[in-house]
Amino acid sequence: MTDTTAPDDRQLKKYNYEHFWLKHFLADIGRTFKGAGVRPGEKAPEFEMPSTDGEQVSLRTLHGEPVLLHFGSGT
Amino acid sequence: MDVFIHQAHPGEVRHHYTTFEDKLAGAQEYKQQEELPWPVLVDDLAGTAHLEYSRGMADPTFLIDADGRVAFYGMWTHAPTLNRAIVELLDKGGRGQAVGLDRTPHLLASFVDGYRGPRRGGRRGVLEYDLGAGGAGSLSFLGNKAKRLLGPLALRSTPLPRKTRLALGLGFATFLLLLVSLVAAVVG
Repeated sequence: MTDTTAPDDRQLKKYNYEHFWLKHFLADIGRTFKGAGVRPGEKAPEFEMPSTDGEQVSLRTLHGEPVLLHFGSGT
Repeated sequence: MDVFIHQAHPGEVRHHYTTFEDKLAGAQEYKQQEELPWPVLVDDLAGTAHLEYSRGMADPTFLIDADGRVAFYGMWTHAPTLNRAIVELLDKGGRGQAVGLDRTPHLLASFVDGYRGPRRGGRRGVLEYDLGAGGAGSLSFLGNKAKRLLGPLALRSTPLPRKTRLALGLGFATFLLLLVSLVAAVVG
């Protein structure tokens, strides 16, 4: 059967998975060994995101002070 | 500040996110239940910032210096190392690298104080955490029960003193030795 799901849609579903499986855990272990992500010394990627209070926050507006950014799911 | 990412342990209570509004509601619930005094930002549904920064790590922390460069990347947010990085960066006037890349997992802390997370997803979230990560759901349940006992040891943001680490190591080695001797005596 032909997969008619658009690539973006597939990516969205892959990121927002319905079930936590061993492969998700193993993927994190693999990323840990690779040191995947933005490395120390590199420019931090710009972002602009809303806060839970509705305020738009961008990294640009925070320059001049150190910023601590913790990514988490709360679950 | 926190950046709210995808649902790591979806369950029957909190499903995987299908709309941004749903994700925002999850972030508001998280901030309220954990009583977080700092801002919680909400990444888009595709996880653009999450993937760009860490390629999708479950619990990473970045310390960004005053010039907008990454000073520290804690892949699993090991609190004592993060604390060391913050102190080091501030000592450098907020500019430059501090500690660098840290791959240390914060295992004991996540078992002692991490049960509320998967529990928010529901029973299925906890069960799948068990099945997918070698019993981590049950360990976090038990760790949470023993929080009063283990908390002072596990939930530290500063490293344990060297003598304490040595004593714990010796204690653990003795325990293992006794266990092996007991098994050998029973089998033999």
